Amino acid sequence: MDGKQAQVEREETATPRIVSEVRTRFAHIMELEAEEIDMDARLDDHYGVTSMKSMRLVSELEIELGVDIPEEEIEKMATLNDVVRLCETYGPQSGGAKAGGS
Amino acid sequence: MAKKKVLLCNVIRPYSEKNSKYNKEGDEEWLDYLSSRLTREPGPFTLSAYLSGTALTLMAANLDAEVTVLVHPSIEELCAELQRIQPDVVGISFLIKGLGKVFPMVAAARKHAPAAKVVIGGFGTMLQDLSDVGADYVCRGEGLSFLRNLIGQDPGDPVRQPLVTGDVTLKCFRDYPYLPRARYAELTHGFGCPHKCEFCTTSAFFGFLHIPFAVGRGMYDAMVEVHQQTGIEYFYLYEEDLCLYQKSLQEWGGLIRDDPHHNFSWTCFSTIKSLTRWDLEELVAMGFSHVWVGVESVASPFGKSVGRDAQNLFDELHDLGVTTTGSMIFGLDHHTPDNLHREVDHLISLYPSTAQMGTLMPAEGTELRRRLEAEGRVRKGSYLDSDLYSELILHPEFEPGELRQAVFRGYDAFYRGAGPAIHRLARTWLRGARRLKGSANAVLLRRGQLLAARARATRPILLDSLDYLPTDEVRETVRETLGWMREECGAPSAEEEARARLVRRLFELEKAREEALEKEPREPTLVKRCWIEGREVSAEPRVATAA
Repeated sequence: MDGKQAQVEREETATPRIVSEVRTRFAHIMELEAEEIDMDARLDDHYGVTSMKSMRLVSELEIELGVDIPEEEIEKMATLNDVVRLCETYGPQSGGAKAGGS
Repeated sequence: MAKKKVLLCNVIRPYSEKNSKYNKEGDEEWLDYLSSRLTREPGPFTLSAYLSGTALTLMAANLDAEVTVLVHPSIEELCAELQRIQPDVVGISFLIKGLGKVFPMVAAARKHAPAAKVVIGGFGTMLQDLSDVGADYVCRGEGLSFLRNLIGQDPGDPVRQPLVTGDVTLKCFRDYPYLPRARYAELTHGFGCPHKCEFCTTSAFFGFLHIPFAVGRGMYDAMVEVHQQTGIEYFYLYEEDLCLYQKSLQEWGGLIRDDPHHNFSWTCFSTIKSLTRWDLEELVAMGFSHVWVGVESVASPFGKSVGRDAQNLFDELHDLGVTTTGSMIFGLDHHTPDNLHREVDHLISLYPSTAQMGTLMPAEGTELRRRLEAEGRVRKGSYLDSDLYSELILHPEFEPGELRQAVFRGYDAFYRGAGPAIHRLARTWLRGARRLKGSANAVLLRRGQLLAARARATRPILLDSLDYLPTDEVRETVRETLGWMREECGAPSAEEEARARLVRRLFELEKAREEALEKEPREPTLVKRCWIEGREVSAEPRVATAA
């Protein structure tokens, strides 16, 4: 299984809304087109994501999706698919943040 | 045309590490600036006072707009207000320590008030690159002019002083609303400082300039207005070195001195250099009651320390009944493990009424930061490590962690040597009362009577609690002070003795509580206030206190 195929499978198993939010918000923060985003590319090496940009992405997702991702998990996330997984794991049903969910 | 709608807030609660990933251990304690810093004491005498969102309130009262101020909102409360108000402008004020909380706040503004322009301001903006936070504007420096420009108001419009009040009491009295509190109001004279001390964040933040806010007669008029509304006669004045501005002080201080109907008192920040230029009795006649002097070191290298000998100055201040805060910095270039104890000894000798010790902080934007970075002496750390006790410098004479430990040892040594602040305050007031009662000047005579009354108010706290004091030497000094009190105010009344028994019971209860129960963090509650075109419309201004 090549990387592209794996990415597609992962996206198919994840909640579409979460994938869409992660992709769209990351594209906006990085000033890229959403279609250009590689969900498996490394955030640091490939995209040059700073810790500030990571914090902004996570915060926007927390407010939008009502998730609450622990700090130690934020430090470990390497790709956007990691972010998707964290959003699924720490979603509102897991007792996460309740403030922002619409 | 409809007025712009503005929402101003500080960072979201909770503040304790236990309750939020954006905090570190003890963060909630900083809200109480007396017990965490100026009266950081191990015993039950520790004083307590909370900050009240002064800067936000000051801006809110001076904007030609509909303004809501939220102090200590939760993220849920912030989201609800954003949805309800749909503001045109959202202003978020933060310290460096609060950076992590700014991200969800900006995100909340984007989600719930998408049309709003988001401004971040406050000392946190000393951080170099904040473009990734996602705000529309970063306001570095004075915020009122910035916001007035943003909403299309003339930055030169007249200014008014909002009503901001607070209170001081013993920390262990906080849970008992019926126990006494000393109320005060806060007023602003100006921002920034021209002394340009290399470590000073305030000086750097305001571009090394002084920005006057309300000088001269306006200060006195504001005091009268506050007194009419609240009965308060004691004022905390915001200005980095108030006594530097002699002409302004002469004007409003003279009005206080010549006012037979009020007995206004005020506390301020000042410097040895500026105080040297004054006849201190003249200042006392103008209501000068407490001063924070940054002593910094027994061998202070800073220009603001030039002038009178510090010991001589503090002695005269105390003789006149002026209480003091003395602050020291640990980690200056000349410090070594062998000479640091001299700083604590010096502080004990000065006998300030309250005291602060902290590590040298190389805040971003300061000359100190530039110098230490060039020397490779800035330690990399989390934004959360940016408080008085953080250790962000590499010092050739100290191992990592030693300076921080020296600060805490310094506080302990200071307490053992000088005892509790509440006693030093009482003793200083009595010194002033004893000195001024013989004055031929009627204004000073009245000041002396006020000082005696202040000292007497502490008698129930000191009368029956000697065994809670740290050493026999301190106990002996407190006994002497109680003797002075008897001479100046008479023997304790039956009511004072009853109150002293109550205080003793509270101290016992507090001790038992500490032994029996785990310490729970105190979180503040939301303070919300609203203004329309500079007029407050909330029913009651509320004081920020811990829940």
